[in-house]
Amino acid sequence: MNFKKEYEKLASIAADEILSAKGREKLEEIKIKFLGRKGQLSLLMKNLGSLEAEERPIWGGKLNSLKKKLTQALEEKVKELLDESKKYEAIDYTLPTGDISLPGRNPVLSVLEDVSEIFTEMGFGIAYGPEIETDYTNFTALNFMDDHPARDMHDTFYLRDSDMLLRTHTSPVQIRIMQNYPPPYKFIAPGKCYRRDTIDASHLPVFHQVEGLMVDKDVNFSHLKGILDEFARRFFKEKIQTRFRPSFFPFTEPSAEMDIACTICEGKGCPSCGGNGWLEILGAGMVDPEVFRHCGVDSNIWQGFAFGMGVERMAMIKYGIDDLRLFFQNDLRFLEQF
Amino acid sequence: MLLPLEWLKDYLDIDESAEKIADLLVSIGMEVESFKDTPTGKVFEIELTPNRGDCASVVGLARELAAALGKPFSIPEREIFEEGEPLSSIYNVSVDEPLFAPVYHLRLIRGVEVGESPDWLKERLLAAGQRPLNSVVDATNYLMLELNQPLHAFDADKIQGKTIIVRRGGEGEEFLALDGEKILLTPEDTVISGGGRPIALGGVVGGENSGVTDKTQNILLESAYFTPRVISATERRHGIKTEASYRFSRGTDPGGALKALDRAALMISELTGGKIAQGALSVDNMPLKGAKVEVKVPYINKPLGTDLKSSHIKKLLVPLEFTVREEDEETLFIEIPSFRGDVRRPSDIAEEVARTYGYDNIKSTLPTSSITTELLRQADPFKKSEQVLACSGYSQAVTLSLSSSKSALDAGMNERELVFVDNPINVNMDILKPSILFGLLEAAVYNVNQGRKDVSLFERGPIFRKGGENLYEREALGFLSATEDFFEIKKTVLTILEALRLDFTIDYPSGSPLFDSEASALIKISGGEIGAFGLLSENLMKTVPNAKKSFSGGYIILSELLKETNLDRKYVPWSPYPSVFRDISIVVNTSLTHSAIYDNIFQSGGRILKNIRLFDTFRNERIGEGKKSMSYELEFNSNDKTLTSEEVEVKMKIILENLEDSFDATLREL
Ligand SMILES: [Zn+2]
Repeated sequence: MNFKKEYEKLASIAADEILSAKGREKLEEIKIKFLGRKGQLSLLMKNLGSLEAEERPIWGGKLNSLKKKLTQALEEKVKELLDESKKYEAIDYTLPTGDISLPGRNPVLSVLEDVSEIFTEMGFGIAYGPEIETDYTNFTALNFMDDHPARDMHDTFYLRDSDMLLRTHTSPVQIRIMQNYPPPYKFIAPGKCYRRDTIDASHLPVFHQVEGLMVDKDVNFSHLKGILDEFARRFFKEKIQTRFRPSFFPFTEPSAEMDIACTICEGKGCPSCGGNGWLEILGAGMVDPEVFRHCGVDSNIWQGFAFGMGVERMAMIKYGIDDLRLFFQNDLRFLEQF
Repeated sequence: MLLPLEWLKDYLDIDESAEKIADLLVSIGMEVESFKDTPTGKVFEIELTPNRGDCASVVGLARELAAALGKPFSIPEREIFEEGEPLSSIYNVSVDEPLFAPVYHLRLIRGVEVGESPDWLKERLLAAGQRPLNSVVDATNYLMLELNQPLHAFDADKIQGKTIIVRRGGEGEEFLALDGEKILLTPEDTVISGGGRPIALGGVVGGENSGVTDKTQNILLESAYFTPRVISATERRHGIKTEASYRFSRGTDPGGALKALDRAALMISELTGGKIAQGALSVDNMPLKGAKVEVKVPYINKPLGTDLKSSHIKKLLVPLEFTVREEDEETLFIEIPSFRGDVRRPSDIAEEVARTYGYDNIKSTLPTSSITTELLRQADPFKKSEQVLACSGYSQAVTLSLSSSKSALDAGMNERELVFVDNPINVNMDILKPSILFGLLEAAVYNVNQGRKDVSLFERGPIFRKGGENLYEREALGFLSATEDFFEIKKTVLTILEALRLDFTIDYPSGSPLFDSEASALIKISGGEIGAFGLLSENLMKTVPNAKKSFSGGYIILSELLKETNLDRKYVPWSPYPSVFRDISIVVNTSLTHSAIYDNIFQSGGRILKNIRLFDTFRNERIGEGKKSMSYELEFNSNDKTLTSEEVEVKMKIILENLEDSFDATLREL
């Protein structure tokens, strides 16, 4: 072939053909003809070898700039055709995208995270402990006396061929921290707990708790109320009404239970709150001196409060869930709502 | 416990509404579950805390209520009428184990005619949830509900001999309870015996051999204080709980047992026409029935955040029958009534003060103390792994940590490694989860069977294994997918490991019974196994009934990574010089793995080789039987300068030579 003649021919017609192309299909054809892998331009590239050695760089450069020019012309023509087409047909912006699917979350864990975040914002640390515990840490050190009916409140799983048990609350974490670190303390202990309950809508053998402990030289019952009121405001709503009433836990004295005004009936009474307008949300109290004694903390110097709440219960109240089993069933239709 | 409002009115004046009374009870720690209208008036259902045994009675609650209302409270007293031969000349009592029954009283009522109780009595019992039986049993039940003192009536004529002994049980001694159940006693049980044989399991249940019937004529009536701890242990040991044991285990009133006995005897005498013999037989080994406590006023105020004067504290405690003496402005000397066994220490007094002062009256304030607990404030080092899974479309699951040993064994796990629950709820929950994939797999199958196709779940939670005598509890991350193939799950795993900035190696196949024997792999860090992934094994899939589809998945033991993850990373600047890219295509035996080629190239490449990317692999006739082509893009870069093509070519030559030498590889012409 005559390289130079072929080049001139291509350089003179290609740009015109591109500019006069009618419609996108035609343009695509032209593109393949000139710029495709087996197009006229690559053909010339392959034939560079037929030229004298000193001429090759010159013509190589020419080919490259022609390629650039044609590519640019093509892009401009594509844009022109597109603009033209827009004049006639409007784009339907309501057409669907691909499927959108957000992964689900288990609400127990998101509530656990919310609760933890509120307390860390209030300056509490987070501590963890094992789920397999000793009788001493789970009961004795928390002032549950042997053969005391208070132990009946915790139906316990024991392990075979072992004197270990599954913790019935996260309170043993308090004990472990107090035994290993000097006061003061300000932390929460979230985690799984176990009680030997048969599964139904309101009982599960496995559940989650968040326990908290705050101990200093002058932390008192009034502060217990203050911190927990603040928690309820942040977790539920600013104007939540709370009430504290006397209760009993072996590891606190005085002990209290905290109720909030029923979130469904606003305190008027409905089936959700058993008709009395209040929902119990947590237990609390001033740490019993006996617990301090077991941990080697001098109760003449240090005092403070502990509290504990069931996370599933908080999630039920927050999201209006009425069956505990849903939390552990992991139905995607459930998880995807959170 | 059920508390009839009308009954309360025997001890104090009440003109408040039932709602008001319920609120008041709640405010002093007596949780009112509900209150109902009955034909005989309002009845409260009260959930008592285990420390307040004294309030398992109408009088106990009446006393609390009167104090809360600021009203007078009294128990109507009546004179006992005795006649005939003195009891002490007929019977005698010996308490051989005073630790088990510190206070023990008996009375004899002769010539009773057991019959039906009058309507007023039956109605009260019914309102309080007690079924009327006959006049004698009804009278003892009435007193139990009124004063929290369980009483036991023996048919005196059925007891052989005239000596009642309170002792420990014999080892293996047989006792036949009222309901016909045979109990084998132990020396830790309290036994009442007459004529050498047990006639009651003290504080728990009477014997069949001495029970009151319609034909009973003479009654020995027992009122005692049994040691709570001993009764609790007996309840537990024999699995028996009775109205009596419930009360004794929570503590009755050692100082009130005789008064209750007298009231009961009088009532039985009135109901049955029987005559009360002169005197009671009493053994009292408990000189101090209520604690005496000295308490400083600041000791009470400091933990409560209150500023109560000693006179105010006294005013709060006296209506609860505490005797309070003000030694000086700072010091109170307090005698606690015998029915309040739960109050022994100064801190117990502080609780009583808080309770009666009212929790509502203690201000809600935020603490001023500024505690810092740096020690405990740690970021979760594995949060990123959850984010990676969420971004890959995995939903977060929480499953029960209890699982089935049969499934674990069927899946090929070792029985010696399983942690068994000694008292499982059922066989499907008899072990603690040995792998995070159990439970999660059931949840995944459940979702597929609900018609979902895009099932991907992950869970972060504890797993439990036994190693010799030791129990290991570790945190694991597990994930399962119904849509990802082997390479997709591998990508998920690698992304997690990269996100956690770990130095890991992967070994193929996993060798784990939970995964396919070929399409699986082990994850290792510093030579130790920390996880595995791949297609799940058939054996594992078979452990879930109705599993129609198989899954891919994996797990990582997070606890094992704690030493390895490094959150304290420093910024590393990247090279300001451009990279040089070179492609290399080689033909090798089909049995040669990518990872072997990769390692070989990596070794040869030296410091300037930054990246090795496989971009093409194929077999065809042209390259020949048993051969495959592998094409890699290699990236070279230096932090110090722009690499010259000569420098790169030198490396490429070494790389190719080593591939040829090690694998008999040949360069494929492009
Ligand atoms: Zn309500």
